[in-house]
Amino acid sequence: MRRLIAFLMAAVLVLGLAACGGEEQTAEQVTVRYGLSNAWDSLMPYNSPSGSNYTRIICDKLYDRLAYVHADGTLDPRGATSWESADDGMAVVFHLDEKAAFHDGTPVTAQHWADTIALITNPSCPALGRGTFSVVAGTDENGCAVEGETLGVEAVDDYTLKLTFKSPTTPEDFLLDKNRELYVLPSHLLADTDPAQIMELDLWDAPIGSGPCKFVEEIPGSQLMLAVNRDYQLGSPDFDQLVITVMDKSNLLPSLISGDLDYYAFGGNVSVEDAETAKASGLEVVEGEVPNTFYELMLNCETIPSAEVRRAIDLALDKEALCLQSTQGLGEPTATDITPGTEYTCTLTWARDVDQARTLLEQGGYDGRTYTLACTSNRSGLAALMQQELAEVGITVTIETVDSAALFSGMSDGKYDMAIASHTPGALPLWFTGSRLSESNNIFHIADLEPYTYYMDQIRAASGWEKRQVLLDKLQELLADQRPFIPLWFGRTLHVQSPTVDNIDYPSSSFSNENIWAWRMKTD
Amino acid sequence: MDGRRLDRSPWARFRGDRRAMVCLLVLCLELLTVFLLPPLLGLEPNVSDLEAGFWAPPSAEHWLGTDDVGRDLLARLLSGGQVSLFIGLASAAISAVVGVPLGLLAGYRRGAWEFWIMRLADIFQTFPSIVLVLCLVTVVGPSAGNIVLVLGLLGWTGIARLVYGNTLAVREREYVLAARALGARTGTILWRNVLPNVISPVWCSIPLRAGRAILSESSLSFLGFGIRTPQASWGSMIQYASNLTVLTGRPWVWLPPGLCIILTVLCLAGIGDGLRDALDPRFHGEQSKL
Repeated sequence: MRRLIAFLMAAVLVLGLAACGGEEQTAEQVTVRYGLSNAWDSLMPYNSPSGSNYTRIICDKLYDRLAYVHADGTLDPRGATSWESADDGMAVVFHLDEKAAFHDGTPVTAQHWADTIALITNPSCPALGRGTFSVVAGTDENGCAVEGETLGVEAVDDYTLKLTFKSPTTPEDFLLDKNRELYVLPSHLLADTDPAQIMELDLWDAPIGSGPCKFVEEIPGSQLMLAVNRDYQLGSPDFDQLVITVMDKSNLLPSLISGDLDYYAFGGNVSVEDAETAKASGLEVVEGEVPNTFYELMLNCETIPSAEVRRAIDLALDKEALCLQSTQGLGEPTATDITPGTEYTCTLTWARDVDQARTLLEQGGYDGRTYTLACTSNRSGLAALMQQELAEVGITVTIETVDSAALFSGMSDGKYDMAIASHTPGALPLWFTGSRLSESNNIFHIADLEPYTYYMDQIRAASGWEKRQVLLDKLQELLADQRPFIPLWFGRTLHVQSPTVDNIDYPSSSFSNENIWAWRMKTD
Repeated sequence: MDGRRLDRSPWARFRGDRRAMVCLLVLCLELLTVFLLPPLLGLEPNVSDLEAGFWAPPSAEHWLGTDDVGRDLLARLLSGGQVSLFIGLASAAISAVVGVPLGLLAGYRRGAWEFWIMRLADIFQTFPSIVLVLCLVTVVGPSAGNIVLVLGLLGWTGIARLVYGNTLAVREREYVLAARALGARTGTILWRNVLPNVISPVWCSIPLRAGRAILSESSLSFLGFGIRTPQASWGSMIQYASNLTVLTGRPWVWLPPGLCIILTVLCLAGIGDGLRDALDPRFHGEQSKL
């Protein structure tokens, strides 16, 4: 009897386990595991306090944008199939993709885009990052719609969107500058909501967008599970799920090597020395061809009011050594923020001149005060090198290691005298100065912005490359003379290729968009 | 128990403990090395040698190679040793300075003193220490001085408990009762009659606390909350090992500070054991080896 009972129990156990196994097999989904070194701060694209690329790269999956921006500055259709200038360059007309639809099945129309822009520019809507729309007619410098003026956005028909600007703007200039911050929201789900309450909606906890991925589940700050949108207008990859996991930056490459990740943002970036480790582990590493980082030393012109002292700081820095320390040979020192390889150039050159720096310090009346240099922890070595170089000419600096958000807020508040920052460079002549030398973001604490805005307004209004280049030269001369910030170098990067996924456009990831619809699993 | 041993002075008993003496010798040697060698050899921990390059391997010019900024790693190891040892010993001293009087008061006065001091100790001990230290260092800012203060002020509870427990026993002894009957003031009794009889375990625990503080500083530096750049500490040097390439390909960068930490903590633990045996003969012999 006991044997019979034992036999029956064993049989039940075996059958139970077999059933479990069978269920797992039928429910098996192909998952791509994606690593990210920092968490997103919101799933609502217009409610990101940091406005960081980490949030942008997540929103890039959930929501649709007008275009896809390649690393070399070329554009591909995405939410819009084509675009053209109108009204003598004062407007751009976008022809939208008629196959685009939200994850709930509602087609994306021009009205959705127009409603989105109207909502975000509505002063009563607590949107963040609405400065993107400050170029649109009918808005103020902060991107808020001005009462009594017509907002420059119009749904001409279901699939034609027209944006009117304050100054002549080409479609390419607009998309290169603003595309990564312009998403279409499901306005049909927001119609009955007071704009002031928009951010309170539960919708943003499980968002419905029209991007290449659908929301499944989120562990805030840690993990995001997305399902592939099979109806995306540009196609869909051959896997089912994308699981995005936040992990320490130093763990990304080891996780890729060990097989715990299939890919990590942004573009599998890896340093020269780590590239050797990756290669030794059998991974392929490819060098990026276009600059994807621009390093600058931000200066606080309020606490360092003398242009001579700021120029002395510039001359004291050995940019070659700094660039080598940071990029291990994958960068070029620069005297300007104009991105190399674009149609715009700058003839200014840099040179270290310790004697001239000392002379300028005397002329500028440097009183021997100690400046505070802020940097993130991964750049503390760079800061230490700068500290030595500045000490050589007699400038004393203490280093404060802070996180990125504290660094920028500290510079904005005037807490720090200088800070090391890096950015993703753009192809436009004002990609950097346009956003930095403005009343709404005067992070360098420049007392009088007018001399800069004078040239910048003229550059924006100028038609044709030649006119722009002449004005740009004058702006660069002014910047070199006043030195509100110190351009350091442009860097390229190395991309570790995913061992399991093909067709990834690695370089474009730096521009906060990924061609996930084209990704394919590798077949051995 | 060996009667002759009990007759000997604590220092003589300590000297008789070979393991403790070796530990003391090594620690003294370490202290001499980190404080005297840099000026003797003219080592500069914060100056880059760009000709040698970044991450240069050990060579005749740079015995331990250079770091990511081209700084001599031997110079930084010695300079880091000064910082780490200072943090360890100073924070242990602060813990004792705060913990001993509080433990004495709680144990001798009892009543409200006992309640508030020991409940405060309970509260301090309920927080995960590394999290509390991280928060406080973030608030006051990362520097060697601040880390010493934070580690020192958070480490008083263990010493206070130790002193409190012993004081409870000592306060009922005849010599204390006699002093009280003769009208001696509380301060005098605590200083002359109680403290000398409860301090022995504190001497033993100070080296152990110093070792723990060195490990805490290393953890803080490894997490990026340690001392301020460009100052070095053994913990901040080990932080390089968080990079896979350094961990696997450049052991000369992180191995020496790692070995120094292990050696120092072992020596401090050995000295603590030796002091315990020397100051309290009841623990000597077989018992101490359990």
